[in-house]
Amino acid sequence: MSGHILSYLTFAPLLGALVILFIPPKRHNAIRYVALLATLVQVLLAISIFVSFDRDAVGIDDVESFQYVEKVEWIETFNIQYFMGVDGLSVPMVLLTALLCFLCIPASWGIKEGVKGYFALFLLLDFGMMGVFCALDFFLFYIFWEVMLLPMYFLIGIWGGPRKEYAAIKFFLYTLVGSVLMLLVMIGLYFSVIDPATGHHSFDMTVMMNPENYVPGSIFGSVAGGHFILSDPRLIAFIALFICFAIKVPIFPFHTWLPDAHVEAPTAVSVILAGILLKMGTYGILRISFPMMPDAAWAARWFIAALGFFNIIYGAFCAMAQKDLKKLVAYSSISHMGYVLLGMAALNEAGMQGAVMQMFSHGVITAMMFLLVGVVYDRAHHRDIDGFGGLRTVVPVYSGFFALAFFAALGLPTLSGFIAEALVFLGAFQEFRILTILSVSGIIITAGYVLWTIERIFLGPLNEKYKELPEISAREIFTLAPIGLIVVFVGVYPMPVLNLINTSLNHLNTIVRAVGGI
Amino acid sequence: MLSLENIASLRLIAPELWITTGILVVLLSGMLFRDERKAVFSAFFSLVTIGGAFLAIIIQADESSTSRLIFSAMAAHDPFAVYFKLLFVIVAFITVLISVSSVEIARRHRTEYFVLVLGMLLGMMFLASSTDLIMLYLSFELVSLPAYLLTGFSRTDKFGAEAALKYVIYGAVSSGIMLFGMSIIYGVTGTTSLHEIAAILSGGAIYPGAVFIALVMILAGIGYKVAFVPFHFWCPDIYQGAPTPVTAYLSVGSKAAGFAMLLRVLFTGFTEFSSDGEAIFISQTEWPLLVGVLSGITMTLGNLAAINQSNLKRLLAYSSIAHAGYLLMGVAAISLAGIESVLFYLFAYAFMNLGAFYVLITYANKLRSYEIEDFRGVGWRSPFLGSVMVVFLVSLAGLPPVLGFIGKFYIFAAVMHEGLYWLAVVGILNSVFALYYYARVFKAMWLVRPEDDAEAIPVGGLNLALVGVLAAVTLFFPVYWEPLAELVEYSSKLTGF
Repeated sequence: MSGHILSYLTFAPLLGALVILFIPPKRHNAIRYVALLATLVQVLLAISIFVSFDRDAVGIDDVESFQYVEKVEWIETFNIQYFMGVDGLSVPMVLLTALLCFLCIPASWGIKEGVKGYFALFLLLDFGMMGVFCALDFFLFYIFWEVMLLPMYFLIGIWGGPRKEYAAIKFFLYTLVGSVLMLLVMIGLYFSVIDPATGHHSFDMTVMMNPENYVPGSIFGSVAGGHFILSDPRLIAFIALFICFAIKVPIFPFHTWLPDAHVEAPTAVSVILAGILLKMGTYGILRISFPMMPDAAWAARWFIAALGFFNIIYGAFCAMAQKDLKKLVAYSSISHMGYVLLGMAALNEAGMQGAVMQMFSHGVITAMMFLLVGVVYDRAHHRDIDGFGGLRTVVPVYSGFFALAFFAALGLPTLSGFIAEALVFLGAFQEFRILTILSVSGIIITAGYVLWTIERIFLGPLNEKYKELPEISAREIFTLAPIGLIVVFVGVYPMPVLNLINTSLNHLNTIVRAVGGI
Repeated sequence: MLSLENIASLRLIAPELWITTGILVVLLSGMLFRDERKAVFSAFFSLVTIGGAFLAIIIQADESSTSRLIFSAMAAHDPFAVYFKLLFVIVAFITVLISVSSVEIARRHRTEYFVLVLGMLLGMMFLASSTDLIMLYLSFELVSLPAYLLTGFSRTDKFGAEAALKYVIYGAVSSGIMLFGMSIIYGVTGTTSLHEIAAILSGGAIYPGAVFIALVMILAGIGYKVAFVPFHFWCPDIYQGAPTPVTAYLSVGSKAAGFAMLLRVLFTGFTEFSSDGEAIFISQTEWPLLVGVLSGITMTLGNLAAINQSNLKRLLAYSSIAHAGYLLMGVAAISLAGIESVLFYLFAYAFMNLGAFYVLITYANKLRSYEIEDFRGVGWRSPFLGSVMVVFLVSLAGLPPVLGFIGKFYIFAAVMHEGLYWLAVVGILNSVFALYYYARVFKAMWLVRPEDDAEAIPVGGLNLALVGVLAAVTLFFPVYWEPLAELVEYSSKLTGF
């Protein structure tokens, strides 16, 4: 069993989707429970990984210390392997994916039209995301990366809001532009490396991370004395990959698909988009760009930090200007992903930990925020921030959850967002003084829009229209409470997460810093 | 290389001889039976003919492992030819099945229709194996003539008649140009055999200008067959005007035949090997660059023009032009990997394009239209057809995890390996354009809900099964394409290459 745990984890939702295809479309509950079961299996497997994961194993570029490894020849002609494994970088993402996908199933209970299609596509999406975080063969990674596109397109396009068609195709095209760039770089890297074990080109990511495997004279093969040397093709490849991941994160100026997609997507899909899909961008940078092109990463660290700073400030200001609550949360995501960039650019222990911590913490917080927006939208049928007022007295429990989520986003101490942001600033300050000082002002802007939003919705005189607004239901509490608990727990005692990621991230820092000569 | 005399060669064209017999049997069945039975029997005999040819090819496939020339070097019996013959036979078989269920082919003319389909199949099979300019030209015409007739098969259809006339005129002009080019080659080298042409030309530059111009003229003829720019103008009109099963047949069969001929002419006739074993073009005939540029223009134009089409058949016509562009990338790579990528892509293209056309035909039997507007919400009216259509379209767009992506991967890998990065970038940007218009189709089919009174679209058992098989092929091979990879690798060896 434990030998194939990652395969079970990845293929459980696919199996669920296949089962759903054979259930008659009218049997809504059967379909929902199959989806719930498939994701529940995922959660249990993810928990077992969390429990038994060896915190001292390095991973990143060392094949031996990856855990739960599965390695099978897949397509021999191209030396493509079915190569799965996790390390400290991927485990938090695996946990996050399993948790959010599971909670999104009850959050989708209200879908009435095309239930069968919705849950089948949702599970297919889940399959792709989980695969991305487990794959260690670049080709396999790419397949999983692209598998998600189509279900996401249809989930937004069929079950979305009024401008769903526009939002769906915009998301699709943006992401595709990025991923075709990745395809070219991937093929280029394939022809640049030789796996010493087989003597052939290879898609194995760990092979691509070792400078000694590069063929001198190949396109990305500028290597000397066991170190990469930054050359034009390598820089271009780094930029191409960076654009690919930047679109996903999204980093300014590639962010314009995000507000549209978020606003139009149904609640659960927004949760997945913000909670997991955005993380795939930063995960890609850390998993692929940094260890495979440490030379370019080192050269670009200032640039990445500056983009991070810009994202923080720009996203926060945009969020402040929004009238639509969901759009506000969408822009706040852009702002929060900026912290991840700033942290990873620092390339030191605190910064990198903060970045991955922020990926995890933003995943849960933003999921909570979108779920809460969904709750109020289901009742009031609009999301206009100014259209509410004084809801605190009508829906006290809801107000409590809302405050928790938004304060966590603000970075209130004892909540998970604080730990992440504090670590990011701690790390970044050692490298980029001015930028970090400027970035901290992002917290103030964030506080501005968070408090202002809470004031407009929950405080002040009660809007008479919503005197009878029903309180949050048990099903909704069931989806929110676990995330709320995690936010508080990690905020108070972050060590379980930090222990998980520490060893791998330190090694990643070493890899990149070795090129920088430090 | 082993070269066989006429009598000894006869055995190796058994599949072609079998089809010739089959054509006669189908013709006879048309005379013996009347009305409904005529339609049924001619379809049945066609399927038997094609099935028999398939078996015959499989049985003789082993003998191709040592390539040999047959009929005194007029044709070759090599893995390359066998691969294409198998592909053509499969395509023809599916076409016959598609035609059976289509309402566009009048039942009382089915005999003539199937005879033409078989005749074209015969031409395509000879085209794939010919190694001599005369044979190439004859088989080329044997493909073209039935194609003209099939295009105008619905006599009363105005668009069909116009399409057929355009097709004939374009075809006549371009094959005339090609013949002129061939005669120049003969004038310069004194031979019509591709192998001897290569030997003479690589011996030293004789009239380099004339040879290059002649090569361009030959490319014009082939370009018309595979529809690359600037010989693509006929394509949208013919695809729209022809009965849809014929469109499907032309878009896959005749394009694949064109590529078989293109590869044969370029790689056997105009390629030599450098001292370190690299394939290079024969000096003064710089065709890889020419083909590369044509490829870039073709796919860009095809994709951009497809974006605004409102008729699905025209949209697929421009998409097929774009696919000719992708395929040319593999040719421009001038390597074994390049040939492999073309073979692989043609296989993928055959299944996904036939699948897409088949779904359209099944819908159109009910809707009586090919306008995108009329396809709004049809996905919900037949979820199975709608879902597999998404599979085919996504495959045409080249997204994982379907067969079209693996094909694209092959092509990009071949091109990047040869260092043609500019072409790879052009190709990759084109995939993005392409997605936009394919997405328009499934957007119309799924993103709009039909009115409540719209009835479900029934799908017959045969259609269901066949569409299912095509979709299964499109979905299964990406999961494990090693067998196909080995077949393609084996088949990429042309004689003399």
